[in-house]
Amino acid sequence: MLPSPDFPGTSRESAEVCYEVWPGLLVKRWGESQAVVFHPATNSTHLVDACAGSMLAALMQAPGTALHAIPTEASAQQVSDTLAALLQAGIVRPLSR
Amino acid sequence: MSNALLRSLSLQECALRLASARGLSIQTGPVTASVHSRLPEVARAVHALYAQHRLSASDDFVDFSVAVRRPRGLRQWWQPQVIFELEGQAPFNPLPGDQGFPLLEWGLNWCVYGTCHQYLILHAAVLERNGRALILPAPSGSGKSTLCAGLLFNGWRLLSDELTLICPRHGDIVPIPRPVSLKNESIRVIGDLVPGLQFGSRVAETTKGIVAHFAPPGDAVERAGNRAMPAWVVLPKYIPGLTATLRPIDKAQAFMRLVENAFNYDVFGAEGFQVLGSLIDRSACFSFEYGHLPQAIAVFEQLATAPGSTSP
Repeated sequence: MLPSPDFPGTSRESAEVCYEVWPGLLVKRWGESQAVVFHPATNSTHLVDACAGSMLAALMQAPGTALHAIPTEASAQQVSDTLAALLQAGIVRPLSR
Repeated sequence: MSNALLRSLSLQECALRLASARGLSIQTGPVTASVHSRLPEVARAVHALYAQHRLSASDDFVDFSVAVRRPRGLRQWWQPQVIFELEGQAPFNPLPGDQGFPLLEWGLNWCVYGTCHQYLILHAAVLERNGRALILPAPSGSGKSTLCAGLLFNGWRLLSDELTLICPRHGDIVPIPRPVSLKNESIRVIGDLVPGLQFGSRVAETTKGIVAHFAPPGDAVERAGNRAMPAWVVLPKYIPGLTATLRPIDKAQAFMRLVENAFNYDVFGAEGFQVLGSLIDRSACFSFEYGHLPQAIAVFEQLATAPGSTSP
C-alpha cells in the first residue's frame, strides 16, 4: 500500500492510518535525543531527530499504532514532516490491513 | 628465529632477509606481514622502526606478502620510482623513489583495512589507560596523530595511531602498534615535546606533505596481546592558538562519526550497527578542540583520572 499523493497530512484520515517500521529495522536511542537507525533492506544507517526517535520507539513497541496515537510533544507540522521523511527513507510504512 | 625480536638482527641481516625470497615476516598485533624489499632505505627504516616487533618463523602463517621495489624499466634509474605489491599485484600508482617506507606503511594499512574483516575497523587512533580505550576518530589533518603521539609519551599506551580494530564478538579493541606517522609541523611539535626522539627519514613532497615516522614504544609492542575495552570516544580538531576545550556530544552524533570513519562498516550490516551501538553505550563521547599540545595532554590526564575512570 503506497501513501496517497498528498500524504502525509494532519487530516483526520491520514492521522488514522496505521504504521509499522520496516521489518528488521534497528533503532538505537540514548535518552530522549537523536536516534540512529539501521535499515536492513538498504544496509544503510540514518541519524534521525528526537521526534522521529520517539515515533520509532512507539511504533516498534506497538506496530500498527495510528499516527494520532503516537505520543510526542512535537507539533503536528513537525510530526507530519518527520513522518514524510521516514516514509521517504522506507523506515516506516503504512500497515497493510 | 621464531619469536625473536627484529632488533636481534643487524642492519645487514635485516636487509638480507628483506631481499630473500621468503622476505622478513613481522608480527604486528594480530597480523603477520612478510615484507620484501631490496631498497636500502626501506631496510634502514624497517630495522630502526620495527626493532621491538617479533619475527615469525619462516613456516608460520603469513597474512600478507608485500613488497616495495623499483618498477621494471627505465624508472629504476631515471627519476626512480617505487611501487607497492600485495601478493605480486600492484594496487597503487608508483610514487617517487624516496617514498619507499611511507609507501610500505600506507600499503600495510590498506591491507589491514581492506581485508581484515574479522574486525570492524575505524580510521582512528586508539590508546589505553588502566584497561580503558580512548578512541580518536578523525580524518587526516585534524590533529589526531599529533594528539596520539603526545599522549603516548604521557601515560597512555599506544594501541594504534591509525587503525582501531574492534572485535565484533567481545567489543574490545585489538592493538596493532606500528610505527607512528607524523606530518609537517607535527614532526617539530613532537620533537620538541620528546627531546632525543629518533625519527626515521623525513620524506618530503608526499601527498601528505613531509612525513616522518618514529618507532612505537617497546611496551606498546610487547603488550600488543592486551586488549582494552572502549571507554571514551573523542573527536579531535586542531585549531591553532585555541584553548583546549572538551565538550560532551550527543551519542547518536558520535555514533554517526564512527560510521563515517569506519572502513568496513558496510561489510558487517546489522552486526556492525550493534557493535558500534554497544561501543557508544559504554563510552563517554566528546568533541575536543585544541591549539596547544601540553594543554591537550593535561585535559586527557584529567579525563583518565576522574572519579570512575580508573577501572574497565
